[in-house]
Amino acid sequence: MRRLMAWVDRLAAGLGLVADALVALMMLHIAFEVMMRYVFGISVPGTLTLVSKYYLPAVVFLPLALAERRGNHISVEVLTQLMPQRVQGVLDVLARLLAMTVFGVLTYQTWLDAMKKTRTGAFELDFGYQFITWPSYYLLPIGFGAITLVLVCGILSTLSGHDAGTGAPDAEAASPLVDRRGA
Amino acid sequence: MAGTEIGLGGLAVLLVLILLRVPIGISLITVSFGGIWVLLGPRPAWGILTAIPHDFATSWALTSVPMFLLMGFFCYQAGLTTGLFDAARKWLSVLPGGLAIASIFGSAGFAAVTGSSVACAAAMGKIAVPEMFRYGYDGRLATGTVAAAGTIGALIPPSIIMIIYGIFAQVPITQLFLGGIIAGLLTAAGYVIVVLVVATLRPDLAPPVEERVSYAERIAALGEVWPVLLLIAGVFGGLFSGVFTPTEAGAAGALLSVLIAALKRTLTLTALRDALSETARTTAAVFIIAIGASLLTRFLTLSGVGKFLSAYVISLGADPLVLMLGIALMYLVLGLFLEPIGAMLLTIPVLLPIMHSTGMSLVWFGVVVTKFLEIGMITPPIGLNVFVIKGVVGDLVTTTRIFYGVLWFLIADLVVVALLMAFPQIVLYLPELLG
Repeated sequence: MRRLMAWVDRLAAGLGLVADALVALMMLHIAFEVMMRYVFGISVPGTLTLVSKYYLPAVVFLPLALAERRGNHISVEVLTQLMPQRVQGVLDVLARLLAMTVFGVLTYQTWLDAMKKTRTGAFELDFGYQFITWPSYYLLPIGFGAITLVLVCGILSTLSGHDAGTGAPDAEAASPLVDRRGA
Repeated sequence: MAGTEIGLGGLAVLLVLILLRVPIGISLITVSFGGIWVLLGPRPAWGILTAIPHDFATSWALTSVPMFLLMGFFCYQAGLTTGLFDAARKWLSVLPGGLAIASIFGSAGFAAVTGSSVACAAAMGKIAVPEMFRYGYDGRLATGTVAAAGTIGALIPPSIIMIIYGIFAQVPITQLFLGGIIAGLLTAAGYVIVVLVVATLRPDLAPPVEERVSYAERIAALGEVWPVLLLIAGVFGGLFSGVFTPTEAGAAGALLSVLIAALKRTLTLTALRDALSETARTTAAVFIIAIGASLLTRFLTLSGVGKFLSAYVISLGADPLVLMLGIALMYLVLGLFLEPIGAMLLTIPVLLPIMHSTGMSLVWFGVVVTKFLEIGMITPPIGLNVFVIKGVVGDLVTTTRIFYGVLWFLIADLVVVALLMAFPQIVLYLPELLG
């Protein structure tokens, strides 16, 4: 169990790192395109497609699992706080079971969709060039699948008694900037 | 009629799920999917559930969210804004409550590089609160000022709340940003007046600062403000003159802040990595809720609840002012237990059809809603800015005392809200002039 948890943690952290790198790449790519356009009057074809169809979904879906581990996902605690500890514990497991189910279903559905898009070879037109977009559809099942795994492991370890504290804010999440988003 | 009943039932279930601590994004997705299934059957439900996450997370306009987040997080991590408070205090410390006023100026400046009031409160709290304590300022005044001044962060552009509102309301983000400038400056002015009044009536709360600052020092301090001025000029000059799209402005701003940090030799690998990681996780957490809100919009449209509610509001014969007061009250209640982006995404699918039918300006409405949401950031029991400041001061000031300090500033907020509602031209002047 502990080894499974460690493995899932590494997966979440790894996907997070990929997303971090893509945030940086997104910034550089857009800035490069702007510079080419205004300074040299050259448009870089594919920037729009690459940024919106690849970088953005990667930055949205890949860090989902890590955000879950760090307690970044937003929920409302004001009512449940007033309830007895036992009830809170039960509600917490139920909430995570629902989240697990929803992300599990999304993983399966978006995976089917990605395979369909692969067969039809989905693409976009950008400055008259064809850019394939079907590989980007796999970002969704990867991100959804990883957060589903994190939730499964978290629920299992809560139920089996060694609580690994999924979703509990760790030291970093307790810092104000990481805690609540962009508000 | 059956459709509206399903829609209203869905909204009730949504509320229950959220109150039972189900993550907001999951609650929205569950209710919308279930609702569409009941309305139209399984095929449309599966179709919409599969299509919307991808469609939403691949829209060009939304790429500006991670870019502006990155710029703000990086400026914070690399300490690009520390010069702001220093310059402001050198010029303003002679005024009653001068240090508190300087922290408001510092926040307003920081607001121009960050889209988040939490980041704004954290940054200024770390710099300004210790200084105010050093000169014997009252704990309530010192912490209340920075907690309240943080809310300027989401009003003065860039503003993550306004970007997301703009996408849902289909209003140009540039127009919202322009509208936010005056609302933000008005808020800052209101807070400055509060500090002046409090410090004049109760000099014991804000003892005068006994330090001589020569003009040479003052001019020198202004030199430390250049990173922020350069960023503002580059990002907003480009954005408002129409040279940059919001996404391009955000990316250019983020890159510019990295270059400035390199020049100032404050660029560290840790700062860069932390800023990137915070950006990625924040983007994920915000988008999963936004995807849920996008599904909810679809569900409410299909069920006819949007139309039903707007017809209902119109049948009440409600005057726009009464309607706005109702909305203000609703946001105050929501602000008691929700953070702003969640509160906005939850309500926008319901409110937009109503606002459309009343014919009020959606730019004005977006700015006013942002102001409402930001007031929620400093009202108990859940005032995120207050918690952030509490994190900064540790055991020195209790949370209750910080909320007490914020009360003074809430009076200014009420006046600002009244002005924005009574004179929509305040908000619309710049967008109409430059848009």
